[in-house]
Amino acid sequence: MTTIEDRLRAATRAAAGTVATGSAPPLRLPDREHDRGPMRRRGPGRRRGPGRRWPSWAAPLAAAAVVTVIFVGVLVVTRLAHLPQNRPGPAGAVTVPLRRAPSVAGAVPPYAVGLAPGPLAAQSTRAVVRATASGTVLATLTTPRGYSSFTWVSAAGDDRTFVLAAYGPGPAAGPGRARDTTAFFLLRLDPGAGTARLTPLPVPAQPNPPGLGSPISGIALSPDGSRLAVAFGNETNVRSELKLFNLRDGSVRKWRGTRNDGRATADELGASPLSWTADGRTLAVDEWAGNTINVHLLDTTAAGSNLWSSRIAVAFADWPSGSVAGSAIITPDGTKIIGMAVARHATQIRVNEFSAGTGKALGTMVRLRYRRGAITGWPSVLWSDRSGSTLIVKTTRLGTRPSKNGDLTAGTVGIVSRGRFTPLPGIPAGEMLAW
Amino acid sequence: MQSELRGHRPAASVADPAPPDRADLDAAEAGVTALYRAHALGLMRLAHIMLGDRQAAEDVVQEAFCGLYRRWSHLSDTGRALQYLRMSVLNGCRSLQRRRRRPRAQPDDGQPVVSAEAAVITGEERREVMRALRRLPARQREAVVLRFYLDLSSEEIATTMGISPSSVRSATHRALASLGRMLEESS
Repeated sequence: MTTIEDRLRAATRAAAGTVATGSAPPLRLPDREHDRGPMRRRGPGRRRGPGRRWPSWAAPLAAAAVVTVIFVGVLVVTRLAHLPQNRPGPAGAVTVPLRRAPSVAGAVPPYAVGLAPGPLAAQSTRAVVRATASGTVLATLTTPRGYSSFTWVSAAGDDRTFVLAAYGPGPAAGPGRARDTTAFFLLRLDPGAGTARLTPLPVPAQPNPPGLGSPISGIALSPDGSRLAVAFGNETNVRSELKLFNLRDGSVRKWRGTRNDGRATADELGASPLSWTADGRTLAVDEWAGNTINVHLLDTTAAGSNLWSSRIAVAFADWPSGSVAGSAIITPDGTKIIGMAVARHATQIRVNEFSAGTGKALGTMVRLRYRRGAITGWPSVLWSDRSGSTLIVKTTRLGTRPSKNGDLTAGTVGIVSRGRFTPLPGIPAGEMLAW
Repeated sequence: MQSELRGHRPAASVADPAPPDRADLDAAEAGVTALYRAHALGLMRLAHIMLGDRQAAEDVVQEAFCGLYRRWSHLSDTGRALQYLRMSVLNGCRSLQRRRRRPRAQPDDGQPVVSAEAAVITGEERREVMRALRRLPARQREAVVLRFYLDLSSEEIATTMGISPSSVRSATHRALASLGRMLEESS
């Protein structure tokens, strides 16, 4: 059977073939005399036409404007120099001001941390702290020195503590160091002091295997903030691995996938959120095994190191057909698995709940209806209260116009409670988010 | 001074070596022209896949080369110019899609894409795949096109897109899942 990958190759190459060899038009470089770039030069002999002369009063006006701009610029730079800098200090910590969050409706956490791309694709991803209720930006943190992007974010259970993963060579990069690593940082929000503080965690930076890129496929901070689970998947069907770092004593425990059936997507930790129960004992881990997503419940206090010998709570079979879209999480009380599903020929997004004990479907919490074909992307459950009665979810649907970052999807982040979906309009669905 | 204004250099300066900025300009022109000969077609094809519009693809590629020309003297490694160009083309495609009031490929209008591409891609199968591809979010679309059309590695895709390799993996995974679902729906 032809795989999607093969179909993609064939289709894109056929589309590319419609641009015939030799059909590129001649290159039109900018006129050197009009070039406004860094290599600008004034061409000799260029004359201004009579219509382009400045009026006599314009020169003093322009001079005054220049003086004003310089004065304001100096003032701004002087003031900025006295603001807290979003760069690690001697101890590697960063503190930035945190604005007050407005009160939030319902029983959801007040702060959302999202990973927002910079204005240009090549710029660093920033961490943005927003008020859940309004989406107001309360603090923004750029990556610590030596790191190019924040790549993962996860929250503890106190609504104030987050962990961020950052990607890059690190501050002490040199010939003897791995070229790129992923390092972890603790973000603490202190509304009383009005600060957001980022500090390096005592977790060894994870080197990227040569040629494989970052193998990390998910992180989850335990509810009490004492342990960090890091999932490692990869594209070469090597064993999956889960590492659990103790943030207090620096110890690490590892589990590895041992089954390998040779299929390209088998034995891989999915790029879905890992989720903890409130007691910090059980970690829900998605296994992508061919066309099935198995939600494993890993007892982190039990003996053993085989990741896939942990109990499968729910198996979502045949997920590409639209029955289940994955990204399932366990509720903090450990009673339910909640997952988003795209159903009825992509005209519905459903939030479904299953018993974590038996795997039996318990029902559908909410149905969101769209016109045919409007749903695309990857809806997911982002946060759950203790019993799973209130959730924060992300829906994805095709927008009528591209969003700011060019995406055609116009997803919505919102609260699911009592059979209703209430959008959180200020929370951008295009970011990786944590509460 | 008067002679400079009229475009005639003083005699003494004729024997001088060319000013550095002129040398830079000559080097930039030669370098960019050579790159254009080598890569314009490939980049036009990439832009065409992303946009589904031949004219727009040409414009995006031209703009990318003009941008490279302007920044040539600031490139620390001209050997990475192709990477810069790919990044510029993808940015240009994104900007163009942002400026359009409506996406060119409406997903559920049930109409085939009417373009020169449609005349050549005769297979309904391939048209379906391209329609589904253009329904993906920009990041996912770019990730799968760079992976399966250009056969780039995760690292190369990450550098081109300005994101981490793990984000590339995630975007690729999700793109394939979404494509699978969309193609399943349409079959």
